[in-house]
This record gives sequence, structure tokens and C-alpha cells, in this order.
Amino acid sequence: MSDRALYQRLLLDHNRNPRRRGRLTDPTHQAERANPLCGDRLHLTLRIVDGAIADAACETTGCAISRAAASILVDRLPGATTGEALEFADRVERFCRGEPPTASCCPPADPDEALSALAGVRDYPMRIRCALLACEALRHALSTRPGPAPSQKFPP
Amino acid sequence: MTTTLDTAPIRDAFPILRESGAAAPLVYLDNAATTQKPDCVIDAVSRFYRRDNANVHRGVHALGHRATTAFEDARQRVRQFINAADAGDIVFTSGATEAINLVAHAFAERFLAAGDEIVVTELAHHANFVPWQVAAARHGATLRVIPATDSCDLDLDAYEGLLGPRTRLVAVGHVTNVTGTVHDLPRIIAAAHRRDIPVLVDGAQAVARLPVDVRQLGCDFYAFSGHKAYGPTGIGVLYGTRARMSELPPWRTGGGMVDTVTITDATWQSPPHRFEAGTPNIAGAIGLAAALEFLQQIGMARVAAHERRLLDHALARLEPIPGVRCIGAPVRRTGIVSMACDRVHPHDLATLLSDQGIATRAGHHCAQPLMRRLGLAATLRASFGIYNTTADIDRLADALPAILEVFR
Repeated sequence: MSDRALYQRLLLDHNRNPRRRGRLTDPTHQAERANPLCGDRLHLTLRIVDGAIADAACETTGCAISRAAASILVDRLPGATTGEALEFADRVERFCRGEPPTASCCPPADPDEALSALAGVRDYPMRIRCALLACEALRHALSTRPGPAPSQKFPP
Repeated sequence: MTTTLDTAPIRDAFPILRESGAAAPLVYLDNAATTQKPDCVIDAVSRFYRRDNANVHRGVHALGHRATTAFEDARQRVRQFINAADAGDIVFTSGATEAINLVAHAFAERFLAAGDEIVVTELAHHANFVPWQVAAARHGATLRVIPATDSCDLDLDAYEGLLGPRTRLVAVGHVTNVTGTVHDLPRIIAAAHRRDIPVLVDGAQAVARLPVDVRQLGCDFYAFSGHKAYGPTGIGVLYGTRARMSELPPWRTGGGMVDTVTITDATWQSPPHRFEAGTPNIAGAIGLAAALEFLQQIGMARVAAHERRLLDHALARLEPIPGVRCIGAPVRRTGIVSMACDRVHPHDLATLLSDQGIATRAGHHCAQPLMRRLGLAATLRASFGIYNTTADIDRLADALPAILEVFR
């Protein structure tokens, strides 16, 4: 398969074996996000200590794209400051949209192997929402105060 | 006896199929979402804008007369197509969704009180579920839901138990958009009418698949969309019997639906104009009439037999594929089949099928209560139309095993 194929080996591997799958028992931050178009649903839990992410986990039910993207994102979070985590989410989003990375979030000469799994999404605009669901959840989790997850309310 | 349907000339009437290229002809199996448009529909819309464009029921000039005549002729065509008693029983709306919202809003305002009940179904499209949920909440009424059986039929014994002194309306589908179930409308309507309860039927998936005769059905309201019947988007129909429609207050107000307006008051026109405030979708109505005429020329009995033949072929080809499970086994059904596949999300299947020129639909199909009942987040759906062939279904069935293998 070419490196622009949607379902390349690395993506399928993340789909089959999502990293850091499940829920933390002692999260400080969390968010649930759903894509009403296709029924993807994910629950992100984070434990943040002194401004840095000590632990992260994600429970995803959905398509291969949303599962793999969540796996790639959540695998990168432990050890990152909340600022770095948000920068990485921006980088994932720009990568999926085929936009050049901004200087602050990614030196252009630094090809990211983990992100390459999502390269094919650029050719499938209908699927970008799937790839970005985890980024959305991360931003939401970090924008809310510690506590139980507020569930996303869709119109009835 | 109906003769079989010759798809070659039909396919030739659809530019999107004609022009999709001989090497990889488009396999369009998403007809339950929307159908493709034949030349005669595209031409009717274009001709109206080129030659006859004017507002209706207003101008006395020649164009106004031509536009009004064409618009009212379209209403007559709809009347004839569903065998309504009178063209006045046909209200043009933007689609089935608006038609159902119109009744949900106007009927609830006139008749719904706290403690009343509306009966809906677990097999409903959101368009025939959420408007009633909202209307019930607004008026303090309750929804009673006819449960689905494991075969994806409605449990009609349970239904008859739901009807009671507080039931004000029954809202059911004709054909379910997920499984193609054809509901037993004669029994459903008869049970409601024994208690003088009106019945609204969502016919969005039925009008282009089955012969529909609203007087034979005896329903009080029947809603459908033009774009699922080979017509344009943005046009739909609400049929309502004169007795029922005359009781309803207007839904939207404005020009074209009033008799007299003073500073303090206004009086309403009779149906259908009472429910057509503002400039209607004139070109859409004319395009819809062209689509219905096209279907009539083929003959709806032949269309129904064709849909059934395609469905039987699809079930025979898809069910034996390892890892594929066809959803439901309704007693009566037409050309829609939904599948669940082991360990593979339908969105991923639909994307890879699309890479091979095969258009299907993946998702919850705007039927989340049913999906919850089935324990599924989403299914892959193939839905058929007059231009589909068994070869289209073979392309789908032949493509699936290799795609499933990608996710093993």
C-alpha cells in the first residue's frame, strides 16, 4: 500500500491494538465526545499533576480512523505538559487537514512517524471528523475543571 | 402479472449513470438516502426557470399564469400518483420532515393536552419520532412506542394494547429505512380508526418502491419527499384528508395563506394554501411531477417487483459472506438491506467500497432508537432503485470479502 493509503499497516495496527485503552480509575480531567454522523464515541481520561499529564487513557468505540487517531494521540500524552498536549493536538489536526505545521508545533523537517498513519485521511474529507474526535476530546477535557465528565448533549 | 423491468433504457435516462464511465460504472446503492435524477426531471426544472419562471397565485401576467398552471398541474399529478380524492388534499412542503413537523406542530397545538398520548414506533426514522417527542414535551403529553421484534417487524399485539382513551394520534412508517420492513398498515390503521384515532404515515421510503393508494390505505396523513422518488431535493408532500386538514391551524404564517388581514387580525385560507405560506418551491414541484410521471410510465407494480427481486438477490449473495450478518427478517420487505460485520466498523467498509465506485451508506440511518434495540452503533446499508441491476449487487458482494480481510 502507498503511504497515502487510508488503511495502511500502522493505522490498522493502532485500530487492532489501541494504546492506553480504557479508563483511568483516578482521572483529574476527562471528556466524552461522539460523532453523531457515524456513531463514533470516545471517553478520554487524564491524570494531571503539576501541569503535566501523568497518565492518560481512552476508551473508543467506532471506526478504524477514530480508534487509531485516539490511540496515536493518547500514546503521546504522558509526560507532556498540558500546553505541549494541546500543541500536539493542533499538529494532528493540521496534519490531517493537509495544512503545513506551524513553527511552534512542528519543525517542518521533523517528519512524524506516528502521524504518518493518518496521512490517508487527507484524501477523505468525509472522514476527517473521525480522525479529530480525540483532539476535540482532549481540548474539551483540558478546558474543563477537574471532575466527572460532562457528557456532550446532542439535540434530542 | 407484471413483466420484468428492463433496466437498460432506465439507466440510460440517468445522466449520472450514463456518464460514470464504462470502465468502472457507478454502483449507486444509497437510494434510501436519495435517488439519482433522470433527464426528464432535470429538464423540467431547467425548462421552468428558462421559460416559465414567475411567482404563483399572484401575477396576472402570462408568465404568472404559466407558472401557476404548471404548479397546480404538479399538485394534480401528485394527487393522481397516490390516488388522493382531491388536489386540495395535497400540500407541498420541503420534504417528508417538514410535512411531519407541520402535522406534529399544528395537530398538537389544536388537540394535544397534558396527559394525552401519541403512539410512535421503535422502527421510525428520527423524522417521524423527534417531532412527536418535542410536541409531546411541549404539551405535557407522553409518547408510547410500538416495540420492534427481533425480526424488525412491529409488535402489533403490543400496539393494540397501547391504544387507549388518551391516544390522540398514531405516527408510523410505511417502509422502514434501515431494514426495508413494509408495515402492516391496514391492520395498524384499522385498529386506530376503531377508536377514531388519526394515523400519520411516513411514506418517504415507500412512494418510489411500492404502489401507494392513500384512499385504499385509509390513512389520515401521508408524508413523503420528492428526492427519494427521483425528484428534486427541497420538495415534498403532505397528504391529508380534507376533514383532518380543515381542523388544523396554520403552522407557518405569511403571504399566500391568508384570506383577510387587518391591523388586529387575520383569517386563513382553506387547505392546501393555508399550509403553504410564502413562495413555494415551484420548480421543485414541477420536477417532482416529472419524476412521478416517469415512475408511472414504468408502472409501480413493476417497480415493486424489481425492488423485491433485487432484495432477494442481495440476501442470497450477502448472507453467505463470512463475517456479514443481514439485520432483521421482516415478514414483508422491499429493497433495503442493512448489514453488521464482525469487528469492522461500517464507515470503514463504506469508505473502501467507495474507492471501488460503490456507494453505500454507513451509520445509524437516523434511527437511533432502533440501533439501540439492535445493540448496534451503526450498520452498512445497501438500498436499491429502479436503475439497479443484480450485477450492481454482485459488485458489492464480490468486493466485501477482500475488504473485510483488510481488518482481520
